[in-house]
Amino acid sequence: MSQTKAALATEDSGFRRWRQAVWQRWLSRRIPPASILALSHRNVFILPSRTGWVFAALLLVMLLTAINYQNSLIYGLTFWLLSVGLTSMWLTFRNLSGLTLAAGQVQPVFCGETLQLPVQLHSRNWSAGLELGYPGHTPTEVTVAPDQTLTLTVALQTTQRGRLPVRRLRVQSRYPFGLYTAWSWVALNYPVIIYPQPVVSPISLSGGDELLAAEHAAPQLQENGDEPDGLRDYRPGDSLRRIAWKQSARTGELRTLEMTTDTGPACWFDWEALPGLDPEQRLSRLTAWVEDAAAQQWRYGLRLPGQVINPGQGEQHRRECLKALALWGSA
Amino acid sequence: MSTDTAIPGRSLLLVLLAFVSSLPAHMEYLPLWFWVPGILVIGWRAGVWLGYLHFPRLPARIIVLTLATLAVLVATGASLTLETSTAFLLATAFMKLLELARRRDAVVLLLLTLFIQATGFLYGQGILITLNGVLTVWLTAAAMLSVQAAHRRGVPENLPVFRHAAVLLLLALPLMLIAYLLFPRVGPLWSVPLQTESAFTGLSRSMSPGDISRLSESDRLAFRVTFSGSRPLREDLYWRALILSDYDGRAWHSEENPRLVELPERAADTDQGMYLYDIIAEPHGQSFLFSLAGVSPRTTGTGVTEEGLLARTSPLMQRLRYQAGSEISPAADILTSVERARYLALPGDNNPRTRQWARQLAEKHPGATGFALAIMRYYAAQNFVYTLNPPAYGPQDLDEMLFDVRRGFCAHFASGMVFAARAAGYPARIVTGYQGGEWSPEGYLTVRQYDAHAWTEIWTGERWQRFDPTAMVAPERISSGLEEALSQEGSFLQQNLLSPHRYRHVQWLNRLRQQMENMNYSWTRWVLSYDSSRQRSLLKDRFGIEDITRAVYLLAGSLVVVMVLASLILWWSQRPPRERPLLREWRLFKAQLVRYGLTVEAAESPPSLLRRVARQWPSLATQAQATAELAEACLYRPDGGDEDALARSLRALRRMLRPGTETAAARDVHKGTV
Repeated sequence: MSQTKAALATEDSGFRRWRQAVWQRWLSRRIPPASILALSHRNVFILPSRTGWVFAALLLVMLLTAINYQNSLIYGLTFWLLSVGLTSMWLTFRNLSGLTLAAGQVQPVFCGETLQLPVQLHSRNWSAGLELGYPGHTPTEVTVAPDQTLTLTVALQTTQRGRLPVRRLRVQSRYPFGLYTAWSWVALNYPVIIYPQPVVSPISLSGGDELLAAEHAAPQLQENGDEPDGLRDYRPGDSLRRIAWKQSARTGELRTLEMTTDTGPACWFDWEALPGLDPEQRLSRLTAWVEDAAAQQWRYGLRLPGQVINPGQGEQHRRECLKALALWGSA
Repeated sequence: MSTDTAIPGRSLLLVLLAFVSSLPAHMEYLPLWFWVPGILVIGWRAGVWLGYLHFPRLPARIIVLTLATLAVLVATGASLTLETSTAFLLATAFMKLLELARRRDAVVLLLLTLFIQATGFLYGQGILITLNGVLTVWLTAAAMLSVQAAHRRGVPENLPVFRHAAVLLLLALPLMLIAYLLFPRVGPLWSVPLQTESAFTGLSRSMSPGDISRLSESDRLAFRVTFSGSRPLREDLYWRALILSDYDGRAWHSEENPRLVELPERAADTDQGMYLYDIIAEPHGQSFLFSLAGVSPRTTGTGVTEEGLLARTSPLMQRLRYQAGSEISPAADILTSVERARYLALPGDNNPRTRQWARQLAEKHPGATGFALAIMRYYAAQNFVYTLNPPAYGPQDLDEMLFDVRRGFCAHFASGMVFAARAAGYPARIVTGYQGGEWSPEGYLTVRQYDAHAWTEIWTGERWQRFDPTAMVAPERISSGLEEALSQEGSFLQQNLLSPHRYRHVQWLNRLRQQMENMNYSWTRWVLSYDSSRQRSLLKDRFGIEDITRAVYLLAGSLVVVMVLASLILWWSQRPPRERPLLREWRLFKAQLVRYGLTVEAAESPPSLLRRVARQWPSLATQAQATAELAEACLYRPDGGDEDALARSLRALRRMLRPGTETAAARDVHKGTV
């Protein structure tokens, strides 16, 4: 008995999956992913909402009352409300039609964090009562005035490292009376990389002579004896500890000490240093190490199967390492 | 999605306002005390809003529900009538107020409000009620917008919901008008609970002498008449409604279900010698209609009874507009022996003095007419008093009235006269209806309940002749109306303090009342009386449509046209903006270059691209150089260049670039330099 039920359930979910797949295929033909999309009759859907159906039932009852009691005023009221209903279908559709959505620039995040995806909205007419949201997220509500451009962010919880897959954003409106729901599934392309979720674990370093050097060097590396090599202008991302405060105070402009250690000994973070873990766990730990090393301003390199990043330092290097970790294994 | 969020204060206020505005039409039939719990409930909800009270818990709600049910049953008399149903509807809506917490509840209440307003129209359709209905719809729409738009970013804090709602409602008017005119008006689909008869004021099928005076307390509208052609004198405005032929010793009754008789087809030229009139009758829950003597019907659905009264087959539950014609001097008729027996029946042996007096009078005055005139003279000579407050009469009521007390109302005098005539052997009957009415300056006659009247008809041998004893007692009643007739007694609308008719002597009040009545009359005549027969004639005269199904096609067609128009408007307002001529030329030019194999970089400036063109195709060099200079001027000169000239130049350049145009590379090959 319970087995049949389970079988039915799987069959049901199988059917559902199939239906979902067909729907997605159809959608991707109808509304292909793009970085900018204008909504029109081609890609806006509209159906009566639950309130709309109740309203329709009410109108039917009122019409029957008018017929049975031969009452002109009830006829009039019924037809007025009917025509308000039809007009508001047009208005609800217009809220979406003529709306242009464009994907904005996004900074990378770690997996598990919530992406705040900027969407730039522009409308040729009133787009009232818009609700934008990815499935499973609280929608953002907004109204766009004619020829107004505004940017708002839509939340998206990340669950997977790598390039952000194209997800469909639901844009809908029920304005003015909530009798209809007009909606579209907008696939906006965001060229953003999701880094693996960092999992903190004790750092174990690896790699020939560098290993030795690093073991000795690493703890003292940050502040110790390296003589400043020279001064250069402050660049965003420079550590506060490296700012030459005295000189900066004198000139009134921030100066940064340039260290000779930039070419000094380095540590290696190695895939092989984490035996017995599955790839995702290794990547997560490596990510945590990279973050840690970057915060401590070590020089570090990264060894992944099939990819080696030579030791380096700085924001650029960090991003390169994280990107390699994020995209590891994907073509 | 977000329908389960709480209702913000402003929206709540609007929702309550909309709801309250749908109630006035229901005050008509519900007792005043019914509203007390309603006001308490509204107060409770306001208390919740202000934070003093909580929503009632389930046990409290059950108690309130029970009380509400009881209240409805007591207020409407515990039977399935229209009043009971609508009162239950109201009670439900009031109950909903006690759980009006979320947006979804507000939407439900607003939909209920619309239905309450619709059912309110069953009880009244005057211009004030109509305006009230428009207000309700407006407030409901505004409240709906407010509820929908609450807590949205980008919506101004004080969204102009009233203006917005008004615009939306006005936008919907054209479609409404089309549907109102073209939707086929068919008869009732099934029988529905109707208003109880007590809800109507009007004549009843039986009359004991005190009945008519009760009607005189009411200033309600009975019907309105417009004459086309000649109008009768006021003294001849006897609107017949019922004939009371059966006497049971105390009260007079009419035949239960009068049969409508087939009338011979009338020739078209018989409008000669007839009064032609158009009546809008208020619903009175019975099948009789109002007409002058000698009537012939002019509207389908109405007919004439064997007694010569205008009537229809079903009770009049809605206002009805009909036409009729009446002969100015009715032709001779015959009386069958069965009828004769009925009009002579005088069961029992009460009022012996009247019987005897009548027989003596008949001996002195032979002939029906002579006898009737003698009685009329008796009424005129014996100082009878016309009063709304006659004393209570005993079992020998007519004896007392005629010989001792001599006070009474029209019903008393008519009863006395018919009784006497029958006692003397002359067929006679009481006719009830209305007498007189108020002529408006616009030329129509308004007849109200206090114009109700009873008079007699006596068979003269060849026709029924009207005799009105009241005219002998109180001539003012016939010549100018009830108010004049009661001026001595001062009892006109005595019980009806608020009636504007009581204050007819106050000039401005009277004018105001008359204007209001005028508007109501036009409203009824031109808008409300639009029914299936009127629809048929409109379709026939204006659109040449005979078949009602074609009206349905017309309706569907108009809907399609309106929808297509709306789509066109949307498309037009959202079409891409027109490209500037210069940009268009530039786009076409670049496309041309790509077609001829030149790679166009997005970042390249127009002048530099043009120079590249000049190098690529030597034969275009001059033109390309010139164009490049124009482009530079347009781009970089502070005062700007001549954009039109640039556009022209670009077009010329594009046209010069043809399949045969020689490239620099090819020329070099020719010259052998490579």
